[in-house]
Amino acid sequence: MLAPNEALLLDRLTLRDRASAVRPGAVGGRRASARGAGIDFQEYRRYQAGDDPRAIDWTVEARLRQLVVRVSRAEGNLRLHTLVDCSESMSVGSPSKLACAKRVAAALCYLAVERRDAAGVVAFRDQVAAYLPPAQGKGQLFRTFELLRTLVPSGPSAIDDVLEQYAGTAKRPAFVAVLSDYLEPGAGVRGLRCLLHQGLAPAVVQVLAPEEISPDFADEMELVDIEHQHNGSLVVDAGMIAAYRAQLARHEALLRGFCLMHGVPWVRVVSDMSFAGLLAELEIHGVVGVHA
Amino acid sequence: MRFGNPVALLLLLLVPLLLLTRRRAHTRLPVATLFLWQQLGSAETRSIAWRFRQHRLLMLQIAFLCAVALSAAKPFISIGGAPVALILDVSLSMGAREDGMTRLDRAKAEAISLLERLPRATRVRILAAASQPRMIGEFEASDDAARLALQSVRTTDAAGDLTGAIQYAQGSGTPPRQIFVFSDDKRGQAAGTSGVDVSWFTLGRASDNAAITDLSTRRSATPTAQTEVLVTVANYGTSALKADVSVSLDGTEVGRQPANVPAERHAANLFTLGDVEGVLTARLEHDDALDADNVRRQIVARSSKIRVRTAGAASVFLERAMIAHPDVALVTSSAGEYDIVVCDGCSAIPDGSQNVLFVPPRSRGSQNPAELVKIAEHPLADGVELAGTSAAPLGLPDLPGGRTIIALSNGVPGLVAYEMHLRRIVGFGMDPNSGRLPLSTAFPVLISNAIRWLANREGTPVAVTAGEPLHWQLSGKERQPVVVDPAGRSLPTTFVDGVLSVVDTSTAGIYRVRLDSVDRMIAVNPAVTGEAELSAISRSAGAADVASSQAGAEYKAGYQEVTVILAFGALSLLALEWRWRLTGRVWG
Repeated sequence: MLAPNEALLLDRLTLRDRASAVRPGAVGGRRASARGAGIDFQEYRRYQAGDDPRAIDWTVEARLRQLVVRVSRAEGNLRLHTLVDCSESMSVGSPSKLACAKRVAAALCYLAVERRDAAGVVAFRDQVAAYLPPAQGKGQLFRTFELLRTLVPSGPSAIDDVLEQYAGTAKRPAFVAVLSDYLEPGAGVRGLRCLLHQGLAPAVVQVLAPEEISPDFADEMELVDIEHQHNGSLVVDAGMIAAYRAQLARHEALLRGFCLMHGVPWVRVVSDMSFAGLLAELEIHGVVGVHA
Repeated sequence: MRFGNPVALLLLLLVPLLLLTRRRAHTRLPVATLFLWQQLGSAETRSIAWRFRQHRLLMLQIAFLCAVALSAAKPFISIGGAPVALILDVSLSMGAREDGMTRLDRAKAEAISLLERLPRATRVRILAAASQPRMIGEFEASDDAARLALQSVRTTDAAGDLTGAIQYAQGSGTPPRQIFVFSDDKRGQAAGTSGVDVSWFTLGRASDNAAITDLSTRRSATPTAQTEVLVTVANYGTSALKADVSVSLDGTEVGRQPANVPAERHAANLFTLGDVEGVLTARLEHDDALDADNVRRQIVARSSKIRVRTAGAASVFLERAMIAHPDVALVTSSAGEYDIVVCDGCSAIPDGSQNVLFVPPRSRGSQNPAELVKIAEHPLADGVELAGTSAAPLGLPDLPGGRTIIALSNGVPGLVAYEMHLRRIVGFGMDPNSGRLPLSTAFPVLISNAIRWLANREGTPVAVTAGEPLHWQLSGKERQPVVVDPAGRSLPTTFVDGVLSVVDTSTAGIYRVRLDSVDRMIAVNPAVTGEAELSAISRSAGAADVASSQAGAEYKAGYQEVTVILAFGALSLLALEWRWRLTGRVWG
């Protein structure tokens, strides 16, 4: 899935910390949002019966004559769920949007596994088509790559239904990267809201083809819905392109506005982007960061 | 809209072909979803401008094809404006029946068919052409009232005056753009309207027909007072006619004779009846195309003598001349009723309403007889040969009113006829006892003419031809008389200076004049002259001519050919399409 030079690009990157997505207690170097047995100081609090006496800060007691306990942040690892839309609509573009999504998913899984995080892959269409639960280790990386390699675009998509269904079954906490084109009525906002409601930390990676962003045709064109070809077609001409762009911008604004409002990272990538370009977009929008 | 070459409209079939090819030419592009485009469509396609923009190239091509097809079809579009006039000949001959339909029925059908072809808003003026033109009304071509008005038209028994109808159609209101005449080839009657755009619908075909062309009665001079009835039958057909001619009096048949008339000939049958009085009807018992001309009527009045009262000592020559007239009865007493006064030796005209023949008094030493010279035609001088006659002039007083000097004697008026108001006066300004005139054969004839003219029995006709106005001389004492037609309807009349006039005599039959004292009758007979000869079509026009006439009688005045305009439009559309292909813009 990844060329050696692409893996080199990933070596300097890591998934951006998300405390709410870190599973405390697991082996890993990420700080969880919960208190626990970590080395990072979080706060002092009065000693209560039953506290570990080893946690009493005796220097404070010496100054204040009060028993206070040092509280640390728990540490754990990140559970990455990579949801890849493999419906027929992802076949659009050259290279296809699915190919692009698979590369992004592979990169994210690579970063997770390399940083001792757990990574899993979920392929979905109008329902979950394939599921690889998050796990750590090099072996998981090969399994994710293998699963991604087998994905082919087919069938209709229903992102809202899939996310709603997945939010009910996924274990918290988890970082859920949803890779899709989001070209559905409602832009998948209902599904994302369900993920947030279940305490999951979603990230939106919207994959579009260049011809979807800037359609280019001089004469009339008969458009066919690739997922519902029996539902007829629509004849458009070049005069409608500008209006279409505006409509697409309004659609994106709906999704982007939701993400901004709820602190959800939103990345829009184009299927013909280079791998470096993809990583740059992920880094810019806070999905990945530079490894310290 | 009409088309000169309607076959070219088949080119319009290329339009669906174009649509099919256009549909195939669309490049199909799979997209992830249509809903963005569909949302766009629902917002954008509400405007007509967007729809036009969406398919403007296709619309240009379709418009080009339509323009080419229409221009090749040579279209004529109607242009509004002046009305058209439809004139239906309702003369006697239009009642001729052929294949169960009269010629007028065919005319109505053609007229209604023409209405269907006219532009809906065209004003149509409908007239009936009988002896006098009659305006039926003016309607829109699409108005059902126009069809009802056409259906209500009936034939008359009169001759048709198409020239008058055409002139009437032109003169009433806005002059029509085109005049359509539906007639049975009476084109020659409209020769005086050469400057008018008249289209003719020739209806009917040559048919055999026979008619009674004349019915006359005459009182015989025999002591038994017989009435001779002469019935003239004309055979306009191509084969000999053998049929009976019956004569009935007040509905009772009083005579029947066979009539054998060779083709295209006339024949007469003479019936001798007694001293009869009443409505005499002659009927040709023959089934032909036109029934109305097989009957003819005459009013036979009982014989009555002209009562002449002599005033003064009438000249013996004058008295003998009057007695020689078989219809004259001399009345010597002024107490009885009389029709004419003959006053020999009157210095002035006697008072009264009666007509007068007066002779000025003869004085001693009167002038010598002088030769008479006839200087004017008058009923008094009919059959009178005055050459070689002479009489001594007496000198006539000047009288007001219309005076006609008929003969001069020695340069002064010798015989003068006056008409003053309702009176007729004959001035005999010559000595009836002098010269060669009293001894000549001209004298009794002259006196007989004078008596007949003064009796004025021609002023009360007993039979006229349908369509001709009826004038009836009545006494001035009558109040407004009423005239009733054969159907019992009261007719409009004018009654001026004792003359009763009836204009509408288009229906043959017995008309009754209801006077204060007594009813009188008058027979109106069908106008057979020029109407009964139903074979006139074949004589004046061949079948091919009739057909071409029919084809040419199309509504054309309101149409204008627009082929050039459409061809120019097609070229313009072609240029726009090429501009679109080259620049991507239609205009701007």
